[in-house]
Amino acid sequence: MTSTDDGFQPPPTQPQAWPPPVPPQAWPPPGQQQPAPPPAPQQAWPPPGQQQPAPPPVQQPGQQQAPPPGVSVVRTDAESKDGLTKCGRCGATEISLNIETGNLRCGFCRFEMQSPNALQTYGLDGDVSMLTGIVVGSGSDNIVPSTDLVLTFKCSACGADVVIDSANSTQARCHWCRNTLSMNEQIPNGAVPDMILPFKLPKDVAVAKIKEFVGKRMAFAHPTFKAEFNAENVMGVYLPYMVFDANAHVALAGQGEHQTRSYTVKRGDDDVRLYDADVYDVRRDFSLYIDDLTVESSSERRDQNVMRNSNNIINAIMPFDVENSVCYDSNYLTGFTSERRDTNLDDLTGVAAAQSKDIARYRANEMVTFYDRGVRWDDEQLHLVGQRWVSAYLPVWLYSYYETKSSGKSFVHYVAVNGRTGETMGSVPINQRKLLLVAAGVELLGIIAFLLFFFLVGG
Amino acid sequence: MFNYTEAVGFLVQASSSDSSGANKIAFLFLFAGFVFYGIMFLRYRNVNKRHHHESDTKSRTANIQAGDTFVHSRTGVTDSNMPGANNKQFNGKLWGLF
Repeated sequence: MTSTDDGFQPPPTQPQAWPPPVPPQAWPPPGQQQPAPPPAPQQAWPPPGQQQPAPPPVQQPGQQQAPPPGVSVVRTDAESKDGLTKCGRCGATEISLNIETGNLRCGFCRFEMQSPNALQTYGLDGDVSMLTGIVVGSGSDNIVPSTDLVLTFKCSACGADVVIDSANSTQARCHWCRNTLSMNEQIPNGAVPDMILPFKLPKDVAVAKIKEFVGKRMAFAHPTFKAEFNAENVMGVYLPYMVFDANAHVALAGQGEHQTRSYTVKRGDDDVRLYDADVYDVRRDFSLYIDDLTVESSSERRDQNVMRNSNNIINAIMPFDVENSVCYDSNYLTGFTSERRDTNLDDLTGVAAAQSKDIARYRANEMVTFYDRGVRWDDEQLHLVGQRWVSAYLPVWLYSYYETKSSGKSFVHYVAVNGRTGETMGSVPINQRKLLLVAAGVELLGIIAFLLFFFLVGG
Repeated sequence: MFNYTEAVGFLVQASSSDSSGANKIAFLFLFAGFVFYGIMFLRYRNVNKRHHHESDTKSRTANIQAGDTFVHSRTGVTDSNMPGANNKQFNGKLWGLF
C-alpha cells in the first residue's frame, strides 16, 4: 500500500465542481512555507476538537456485520474519522512519522503528536488468565469480498471528490487543494487494522545492516546480483499480522524415559556405549497463558514454501514488541508502503492453535526434566478457554531482488530488517556454477583425506 | 594395493551409529564436498530460518498437575535418546525444510 499521490486523476464525474470553493481557513500555499519553529511539547493525539468531521463517503463502504455468537467485538475505530487529519497547531495535513521519537510530526510547523497505546486504550491488554470466549478488535472483522476497495471521499477543505484505492493505500492527496485525506474508519476489507507499530529503526541503519548481511555473502553470490545490489533500494513496509492472546487448558499424555545407567562394552574391536533406562507413563495438565503470539495475515506472506519464495525470511525477523503499538492513524503510513490483510480469523485459527500447542510442548519441557532421554507425547489436548485477536501493521525494512533463473523461472529474494529491533535475515541468490565447482574441489580433497585415513588407520 | 571390499567395509563401519570418533571423521571426509555445499546453501539462502514462536512468544503456566507411573525398565539400549521422543519437535511452523 503506498501513500503517494501518484496516478491520481481529477474525477471525471464532477466537471461542474470546478473551481472548487476555497477553504476559508488559512492554509500555507505552496512556496510560502514559514521556517519551522522549535519542536513543540508533545500532546495527546488527536487533540480534542481538532479533527474535522468528514462528510460520509460518497460511495458507502460495506456495512459492519453482526459478530457471530460467542464473539465480542471491541470497537477500535470509534474515535477515528475519515477525511482531513489536521495538525493540532497549524492545521496542516502534511503529517508523518518522526522515527526518532515515534510520534507523528507536522511537516510544516514540526509540532509532534503522540498517539495513545492501542492495547491500553481499547482495553485489549487485560489479564490473559481472565480471558473467556472470543474477543476480537473490530479491525480484525471478517473480510466481505463484495466490499469496495476503491472509495470516494469528499474533501472537507475544498469539496472535491477524492478517490482512495484502499487496496494500495489508506491515504490520498486532494488533487485540487493538495490536502491529504486519510481513511481511518474500518470497513470490512482488511485495509484499516486495529493498531499499528511505528518504525523505530531509521532507514540508514537498515541500509547498513543489509549491506553488512549481504557483504558477508558475496563470495558465492550470483554475479548479476552482485552487479545490481543496492541496499539504498530498501523499502519500509507495514505488513499485516494478527496478534493472538490465549487462555488455554493443556492436557498432555505419553511416555518418558529416565536414564539409570550408562556403560561401555566391547564388541569385536570396538567400544560400544549402552544405556539402561526406566520407562514411565507421563501426564501433565496445566493452564497456559499466551501473550502476543503473532501470525501473518496476508495470504501471500503465509505461503512459506521455501521452494517457491523466501517469505520465511520475513517470518524469521520476528518477534515485534507489539505491546507498544499505537492506535491506527493513516499518517503513520506516509512515506512507507503497506500490505492489506486478506485473511480471516477462521483461516488463522488452525495456525494459532498449532503454534499454541508448540508453546505448550515447550513449556511442558520445564516440567519433565526428569526424563532426560526424552518424552513421546501420544495425546495432546489444548482447549481454548478464551482467545483475543487484534489486527496490526508491523514495520519491516524490506530489500527485494527479483532473480530470473536460466530456466526462465523467477524467484524473489528478500533481505528483511525488523523495523523495531533491527533483527536481520536474508536470502542471497547463489552462483551455482561457482559453488558446485568449489564443492567438487572440496569433495576431491575429502576423498584423498579419506583414502589416506583408510590406509593409515583402517587398512 | 587398494582393496575395494575392505574400503567399503570400512565405510559401512564408519557410517554406523556405534562407530568410533576417528571413523566418523573419516566418514565426514568422504562427504566433505556435499557438506560444504549444504552449509554454503543454508548460509546464503537461509531456508532453515524461521520465527521460533514456541520460545519467543511470551507465555506462562499455572495450575500444574502431574501424574507419572513407572512402566518397566529397558537395559542395554544403544540409542542415547528415547526412540520416538517428540517433546522437542514443533509442528506449527508454516512451512520449511527443517
